[in-house]
Amino acid sequence: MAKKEKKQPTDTVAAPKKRSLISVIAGPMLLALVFMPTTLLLFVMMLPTAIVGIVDKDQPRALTVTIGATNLAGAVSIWFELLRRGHTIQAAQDLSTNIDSLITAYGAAMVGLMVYAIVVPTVAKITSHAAEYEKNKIQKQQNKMLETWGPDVLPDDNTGPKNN
Amino acid sequence: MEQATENKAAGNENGSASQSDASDGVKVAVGPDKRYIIDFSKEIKTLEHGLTEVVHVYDQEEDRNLAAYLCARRSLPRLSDILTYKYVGHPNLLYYVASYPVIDPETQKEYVALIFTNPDLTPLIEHLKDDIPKFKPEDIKNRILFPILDALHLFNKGDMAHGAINLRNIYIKGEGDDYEVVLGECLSAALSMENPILYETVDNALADPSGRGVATVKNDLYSLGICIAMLVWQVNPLQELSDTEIIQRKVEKGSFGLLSTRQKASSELIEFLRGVLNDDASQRWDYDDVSKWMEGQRLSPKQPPAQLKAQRPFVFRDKKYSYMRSLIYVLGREGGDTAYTVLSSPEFLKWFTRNFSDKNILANVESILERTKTAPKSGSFKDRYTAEMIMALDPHGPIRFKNLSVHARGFGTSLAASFAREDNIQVYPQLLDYQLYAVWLSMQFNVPAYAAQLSSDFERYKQFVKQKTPGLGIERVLYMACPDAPCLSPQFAKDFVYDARHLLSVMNRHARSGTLNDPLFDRHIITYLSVREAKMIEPHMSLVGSNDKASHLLGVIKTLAAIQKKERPGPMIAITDHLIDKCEPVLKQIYNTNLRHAVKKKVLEQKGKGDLTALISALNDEKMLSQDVRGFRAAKKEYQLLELRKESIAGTSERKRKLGMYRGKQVAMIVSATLASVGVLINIIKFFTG
Repeated sequence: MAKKEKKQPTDTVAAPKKRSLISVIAGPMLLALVFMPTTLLLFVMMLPTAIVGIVDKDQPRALTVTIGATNLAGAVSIWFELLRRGHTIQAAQDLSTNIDSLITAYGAAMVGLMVYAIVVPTVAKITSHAAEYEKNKIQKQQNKMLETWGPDVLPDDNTGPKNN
Repeated sequence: MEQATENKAAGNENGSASQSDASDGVKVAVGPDKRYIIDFSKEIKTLEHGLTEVVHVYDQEEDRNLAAYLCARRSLPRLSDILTYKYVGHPNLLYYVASYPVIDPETQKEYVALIFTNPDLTPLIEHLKDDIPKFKPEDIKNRILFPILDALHLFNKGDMAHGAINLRNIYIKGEGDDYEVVLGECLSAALSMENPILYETVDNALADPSGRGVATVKNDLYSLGICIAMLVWQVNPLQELSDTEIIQRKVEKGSFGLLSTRQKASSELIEFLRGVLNDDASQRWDYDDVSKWMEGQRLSPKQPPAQLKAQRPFVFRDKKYSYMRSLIYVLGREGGDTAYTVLSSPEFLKWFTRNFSDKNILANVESILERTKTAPKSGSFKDRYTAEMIMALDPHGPIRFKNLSVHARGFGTSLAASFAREDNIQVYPQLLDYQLYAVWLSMQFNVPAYAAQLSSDFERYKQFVKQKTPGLGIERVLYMACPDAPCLSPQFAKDFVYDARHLLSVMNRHARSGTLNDPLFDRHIITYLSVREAKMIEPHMSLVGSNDKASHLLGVIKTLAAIQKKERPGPMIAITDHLIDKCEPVLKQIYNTNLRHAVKKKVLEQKGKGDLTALISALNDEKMLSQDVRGFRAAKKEYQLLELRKESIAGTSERKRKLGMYRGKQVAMIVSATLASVGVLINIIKFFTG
């Protein structure tokens, strides 16, 4: 009975891996080839995101997502320009080398970076402030109790309130 | 004791006021409306028959001269017998008027002044100075003896012994043929304590003056007999003989023989003297016998049994002793190794067995020898052996142990006298521990009627001595065994504290002069109150006996408040203010600081009022205190929980920081995604609308 059970999981796991690899790699490659101008344009415009994606290792990869989202927004506006120009390779080349396009896409990425740089420490500070506030509130309460009841109210083996 | 003094003496919580009169000496007024003026500079030597000083008193209300016996605490005056003495009230007895505590303005020492009438009196002893007898036998019998016997009859009915009958304390009032006899007072000292040895039975004379024990009418009749014999034969052995010689002569010749001379005397009086001076207590006349004699019946007093006498004397320190009692007396006073060496020597035992055949004494000695054969010969063995052997050889005598010589029923008074003199009292617990009282009882030929009670009392004393808790110990033995003992605390060395009310007054006086001790109640005061006024102190004993200052102080305040409430001596301002000043430790026991301040305020409001009950109510409201304790416990618990909460917050700060960062990143992603979505949407709209 055990042997039979052991064999079954082995047989069922191996087959899906082979199938998903083919579908994951082959599909996008095919799409990239079919829509080459978009691929070319997005490749150039989304470069900041790619770099950050390599550098950012911390989960949940917030930096990648933050820069990536705004970078994508900038890249999409250029992509719409590509569609207006007929979605050709030539138009993709022109737009990829256009300063205005690059400023738009890379500037959007910069906005994402600034959002990350401002929002993350601000939220962190607010959260830790809350804990500090609560700790101070407890301390005040304890001081008042000490004033009312004297040092005998301290727990045994305690010479005074701990101000951490 | 007169209580009016302490209430009515104007402006003076002590109850007396000092008046200084440079020309007439120092006078103090006592009594209601300062009626009696005691003049410390005018001594009345004729009325002094012991150690107590007698001074002049003037009664302002009745315009008469009186006399005050100034009793110090070491005299152990018989304050509990005052009522009985007053009840006796015989015309031939010195009349008691009143008694008050009084302070000598010069020495600041407190006495109890026993005030008596002061007719012009001459002690009878003065009439022995001439060789020619002043009184005829008929006068001695009818005008001296009979009136005193009449007074003693009333004492006997009141179950009280006089105990101070001697020729210095019997007086003649009047002059020439118009005279009357007056028997002096007997309250100024403990029973028989200040009576000279000459007037005491041999058994009593062998004991220390304070250890003579309980006296009966037989003792008084004996003393009276000595006085009458001295008058009949016009002799005064006190002039020629020392105390030791008097005892020796009494042992050898008998009390009657000591005083009788070849001079003829009335046969009636001789019969009386033989009866009352019989050295055998069981044969000695009591009052019934005397009554019969007074009515004219012939009683033929029996001869006392001969004292134990050896054919060959025993030589000790180059002196020869034929009488056992004489030798024992000398050895008892010698004590120590010398007495032990003699009493344990083969020579002495040989001399004893060869010369004495009394079966009872032999049995006594054998039992001691048997018992001590196997006892370890170390430590106090010698002293115990000496004491037990002396008791075996002289069972009617007192217990003689180390430097102590006391009758069993004189133990309490002896202990009290030692405490009052500030002597070393170590010998008393030892006597109890070695159960010498039980040995003494076992040596008696006839078990006395009081044996069971005595034994039970001493067993209790022995247990008390072993316990060191305040309220027990040797102090408890003192106050139980000597009911007349005042409070003998060293704190009251110059005072005379005779009851709880007076204790409060004295403490108030000490508070005023800043001489109160710390702690306020020592072992003596605690035990004194526990024995004399148990209801005042027993409910607070655990507080009073505590080593904790606050608890002790609270206990003292509660006890003094109880005394003030019961005795109503009026406001005790000084002691109350003193206690208020010292009550900080008690206030510190209140946890809540706001409540503590409120209570302190209430307590301070009591200053100057002298009401201890109000003070304790302000200081120790039971309901308030229990609420305070409950509140404190809850607060302590809450504080602990808050501390834990604070620790958990501190402990998670790192996590909080990381959590904050995490949340910040999430928010950044959301903001960025939102901005991106808006941007894309705008572009889509622009694219499709051109």
